[in-house]
Amino acid sequence: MRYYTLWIAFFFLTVSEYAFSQKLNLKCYQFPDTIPGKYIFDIKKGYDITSNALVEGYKKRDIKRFAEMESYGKQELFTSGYTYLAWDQLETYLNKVLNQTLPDSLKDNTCVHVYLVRDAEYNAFAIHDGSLFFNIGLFADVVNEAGLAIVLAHEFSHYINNDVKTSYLKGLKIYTKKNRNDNTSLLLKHAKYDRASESRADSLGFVLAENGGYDIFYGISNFMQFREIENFEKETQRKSHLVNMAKNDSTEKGNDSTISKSLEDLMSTHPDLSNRISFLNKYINSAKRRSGKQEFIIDKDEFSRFQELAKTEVLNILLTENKFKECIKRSFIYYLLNPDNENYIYYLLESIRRAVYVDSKLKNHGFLTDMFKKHDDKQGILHKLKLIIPDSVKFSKIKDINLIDTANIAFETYDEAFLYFQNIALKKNINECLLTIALYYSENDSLKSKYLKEYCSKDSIKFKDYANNLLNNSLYSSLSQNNREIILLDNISFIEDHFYGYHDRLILAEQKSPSYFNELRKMTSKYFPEKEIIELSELSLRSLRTKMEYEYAILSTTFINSNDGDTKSDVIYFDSDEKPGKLKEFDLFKLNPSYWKLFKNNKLKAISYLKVYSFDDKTKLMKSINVINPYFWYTIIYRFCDAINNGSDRYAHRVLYYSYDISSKKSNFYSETTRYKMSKAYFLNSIYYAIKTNEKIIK
Amino acid sequence: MKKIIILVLMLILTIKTHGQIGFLGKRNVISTDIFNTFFQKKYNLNYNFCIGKGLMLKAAYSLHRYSNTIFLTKENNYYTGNNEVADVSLRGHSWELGFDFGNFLQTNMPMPIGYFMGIAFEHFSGTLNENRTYNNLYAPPTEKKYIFNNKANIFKLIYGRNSYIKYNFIIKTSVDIGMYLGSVIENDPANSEECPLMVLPLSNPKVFRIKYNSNYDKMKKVTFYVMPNISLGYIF
Repeated sequence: MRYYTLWIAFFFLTVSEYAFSQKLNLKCYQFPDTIPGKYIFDIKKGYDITSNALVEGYKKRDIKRFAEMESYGKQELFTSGYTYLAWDQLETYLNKVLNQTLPDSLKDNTCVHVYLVRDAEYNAFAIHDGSLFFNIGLFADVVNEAGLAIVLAHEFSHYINNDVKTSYLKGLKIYTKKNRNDNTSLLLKHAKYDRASESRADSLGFVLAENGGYDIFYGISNFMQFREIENFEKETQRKSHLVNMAKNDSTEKGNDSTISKSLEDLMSTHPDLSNRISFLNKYINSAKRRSGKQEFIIDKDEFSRFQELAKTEVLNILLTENKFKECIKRSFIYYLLNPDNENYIYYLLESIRRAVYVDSKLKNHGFLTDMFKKHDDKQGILHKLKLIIPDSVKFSKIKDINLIDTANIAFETYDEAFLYFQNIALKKNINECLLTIALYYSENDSLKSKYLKEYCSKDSIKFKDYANNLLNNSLYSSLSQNNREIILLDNISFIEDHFYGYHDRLILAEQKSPSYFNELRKMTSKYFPEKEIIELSELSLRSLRTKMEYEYAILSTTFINSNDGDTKSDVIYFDSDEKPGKLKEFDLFKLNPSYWKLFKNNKLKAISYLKVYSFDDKTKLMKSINVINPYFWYTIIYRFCDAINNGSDRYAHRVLYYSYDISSKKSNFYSETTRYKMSKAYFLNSIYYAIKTNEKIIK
Repeated sequence: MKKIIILVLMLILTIKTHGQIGFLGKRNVISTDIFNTFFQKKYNLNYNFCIGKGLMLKAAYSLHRYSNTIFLTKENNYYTGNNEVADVSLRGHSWELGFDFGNFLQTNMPMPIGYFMGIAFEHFSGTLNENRTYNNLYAPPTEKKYIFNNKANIFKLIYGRNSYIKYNFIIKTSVDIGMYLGSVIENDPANSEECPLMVLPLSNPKVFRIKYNSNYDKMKKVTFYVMPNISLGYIF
């Protein structure tokens, strides 16, 4: 099982997503309005405890850096909505399973606690203080409670072995100023260490799970799951940049894939899956440990119930995260295994609709095969279902046998797939799908109004107002009275570059940000009185739900920059060589109708997101005061000219500004780096022009 | 001249003017040079107007009230003790026009703030009063007065940085590298057997004493100089 330190999790925070309520058969997760007290931690205390714990062989400075990142990062995991805060039942269940695996001496340890993470990836991780984080995506697909227990025990082993701290401190060397550009050997060394710590955690995890009474044979199924993902990534070219580079290198040299495979293995932070599986097999066989062990100890029914909920939740997350293809793939697999669940049909149709809306060319591509390196453009996945369900046990559980029949292929392209599932949805009377179908045929007025009328005639539907307005072509005119233009202000990041590596000054940011924000408020009230500044950190404490809604609206607006008509979606097109089709106009409300509700309820006219980074290259400090060096004076004119051209040698600050305005239906992304030290005045000036430039482009 | 104007116009047109002009939208700057006021008694008022993100038009007017006492020769011999002293005062004014360029490679700090490079032309006209006194221990002092019209054209290359202080005040630190094309026109040929001092409104006149010119009705001198500037400005 993978564990990542918090800083890696940070990078994914922005793509975590809001689960809106569904009125299908399931009760989906809703964010609480305020963060429950048990998820608010004493950051200062956590920092003091961690920073005062000396680790032999490491400098106090590095330990403080670690403490800063972990203590602030942990709180951020909760305030950012990355962790579930109101799903107590599932969290309690997970903790019961963990408790089952713990040795007696640690059973009542309050430090050790599992939290559930709103992430569709197959992953779990531990942090330094015994908090374990378990992704909902992994929970949705884990085979049984034993498999779950093994993962939790593995993560707990990382905590017991103090792997998080040691790995972080060992890894610091890689990114020092001296090493960061030539760190292959260090990377390899560190990866080797990580693999060793993973193997140790595997061993201890098996022992703990076994002692807890679980059948550790199911650990193999976890590994098989990872192998499936690994194979899928290989087939769809989703490997890391580094591994891809290694592959390209070996290809250029005319070598076969064995070199790239060995490089891949060397770079990997986790042991080879075959080794892990064979190790587990040996462990199981050597002592015939399976006798008397169980698949479920806590509650089988509860597990199944939660897993079913988790699957829908995963689809919900993927859809709102705009990871449409992954959503199509997973909902299709879930549908094959359980065609009676209406949610899977809804998410499948909705994700196809949105994917096609973003990239209209997709309509005629082979259904799901376009994700693979080698594919026939027109041939769908039904020809090779094994590509997405390689596990033969799982394959044998497919219930919709019509779709296994390769002699009589039900559909080939996305368009045909939509039609196929549309008919199923209509047969099953899934009300919400009517809106999806209407929006899919939005170019065809008669079909659109037919399905919209049908949708509006239903009771207890989610987007009645939206559908009525869409039918009357008053979607935007109904919002014409909206006058709020909000700017969501994220925390300022103060990043320093030292000889010992990068340092994100979280404590400094906490101290400095309020005064910067006060000045910003004064500036906006003077120059942009119509704009309303909302601090995200403050809003998350006041109303987390609103904060999440705003953030996800922004996330979707960044999809398309209608300025030049190019689609800019990392999520969808990151791995694709294809150039996406041009969209002249981006309709946020067509992409996701829930945003119309958001704009309507909050009287929003425009929504923007602002993030500022301040960089300080401390390694240049000595260079700039090197006045005793004759070379300094010899090159003074050159230095001055360089300063005119490039600004400060040491400082820079960067402003990111995303915005969407309903009056123009345009989204804009502004990013400028100013190469001067970020004083308050320069900070204000950069933001002033971000807003001004944006207004000019949007209006 | 036409070519120069066209060149300047073309330069202006090539500067990107969309988006960021001025600091916080403020495009005008009024400033005064503290350094030269203090050392040279050059009372100066600058006006700058941003016409692009990296381009600023500059106009300035200065009043020159320079005066100094200069020992032209000085003997330390107690018994003879001859010395020649010149009390020099310069009264004049100058106007200046120029451009400042900044933000060359999209450093993204809109002018008037940030590093910049400028070109400027300054025209000076004024009167030089020179009162020379010859002191001798054994004779009464003799005095001679000269009045010269002094004109100069100065081409400057400026490197500097404007930094924002607070409350819309900025401080400009710069270095002028100048080429001084000066001319001195004598008013009184009767006194012209002595060569006049050429007072550059920027430096010690002793440096620029002009050699005797047989055709002394008009004398010219080309001088290069480097002069620091510290100005206080207000943006609006």
